[in-house]
Amino acid sequence: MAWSTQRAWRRCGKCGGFWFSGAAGQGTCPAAIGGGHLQADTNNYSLVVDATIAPGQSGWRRCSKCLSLWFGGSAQGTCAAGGSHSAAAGSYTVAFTSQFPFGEANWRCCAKCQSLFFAGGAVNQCAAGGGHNPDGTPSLSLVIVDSAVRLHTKVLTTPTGTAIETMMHNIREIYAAGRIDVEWVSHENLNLPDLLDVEVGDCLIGQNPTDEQTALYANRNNVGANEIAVYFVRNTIPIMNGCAAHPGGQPGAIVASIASQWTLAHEIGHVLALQHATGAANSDRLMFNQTSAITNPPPDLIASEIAAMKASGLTVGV
Amino acid sequence: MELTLDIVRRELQADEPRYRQIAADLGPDALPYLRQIIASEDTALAAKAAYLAGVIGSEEALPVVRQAAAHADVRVRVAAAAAAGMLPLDHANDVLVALVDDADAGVQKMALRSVPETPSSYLAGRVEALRSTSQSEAVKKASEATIARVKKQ
Repeated sequence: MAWSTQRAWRRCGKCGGFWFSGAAGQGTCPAAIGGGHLQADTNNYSLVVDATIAPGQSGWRRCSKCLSLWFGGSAQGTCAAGGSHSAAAGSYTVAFTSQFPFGEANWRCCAKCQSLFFAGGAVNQCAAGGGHNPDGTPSLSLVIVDSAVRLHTKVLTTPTGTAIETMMHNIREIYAAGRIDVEWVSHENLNLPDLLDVEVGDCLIGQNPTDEQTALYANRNNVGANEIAVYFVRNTIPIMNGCAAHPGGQPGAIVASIASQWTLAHEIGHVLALQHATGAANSDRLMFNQTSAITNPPPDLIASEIAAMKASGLTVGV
Repeated sequence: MELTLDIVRRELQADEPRYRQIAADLGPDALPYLRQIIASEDTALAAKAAYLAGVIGSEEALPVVRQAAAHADVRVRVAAAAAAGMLPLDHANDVLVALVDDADAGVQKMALRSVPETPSSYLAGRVEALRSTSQSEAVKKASEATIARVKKQ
């Protein structure tokens, strides 16, 4: 698996920093009023952890003392709990705003304490004294989520056009517009030479599955009842970029090796009950049925689509 | 509206092309454009073009599917093997005699599925031989299923 996600990251209402509320305690806040961090609002941020391939700035670490996120790619920084930051397990990648338009922008690295902080807020307190200093660092974007879908990738053959990691980052980016977190729960290689080319019939949701669809979707190692399996095959027959028709009670989709970079997100959209957006005027939408010709990428989800996705039993609140 | 290469390409760019509808809309006039697409470097469209040629299925589709059957990319040959099953009988035999002996087991499997119910004697002999000589269990199984299907006729 190329990366996983971690939620329960929060913006501190006292120092403007970014801290992890999923550990014991509130950490240590550098604000003059002292004590631990204070959750500024209900926003629940999701971060990419331990990515082997991910667009953005890698090398961010969680400090085991103050619970802040700090950039370990250069200096150790200054910790509000005293001394320098101390890295807990896990390395995080944070997207540049220029690459990730659907997240919350204006997060920056402080040149003094090396911590991530929100430069668009009213509070701003640095552990090294005074306010944080972005010192020209680029704007970074964070994903705010209120729900999640859980994906499992199962690879019979590796796609030739777009790497699976890229497709997974694309779906994460697109779904972030609807505050839907995409969890990459497991990854498995399947040695099923008989199913490299899978007959999918008319590929209609709710159709009776073909024998080959039945055989393929039976491979659900580690996949929970309301989780989605994605099978990467060589071809579908008929030839399609992907197909979201799946046997009842086995939610999933097939992605063919000729898929575009948006096909995975498109097919999962079908699994979450979305229909095609027809007509050239919709060429900037994810559900446009020509994802290789998407204009103004990344493609969009509209409000009614986001609502439908969240109403799906496969999207859970977080 | 006059059919153009761009129109054909646009139809094939669909993530999930509805081939029967596209074939009905474009008809055999699309076949020369499908040849151009198969000859291009866009393998994804080439595979879709090969399949569409089979769905159009007219007499003129044979050279298009035959071209796809000789494509360097195995995915296009799989598409050709599937398309061959939708061609007129003689044309299907013509394409499939090459594809049942393809180097890729997936192409062979698809070609065996496309063998018509009344295959040529040569093609029937190749199907019979593959049942015992193939190194691939999938190909052996497909040849057995094909033999059983043909014998029913």
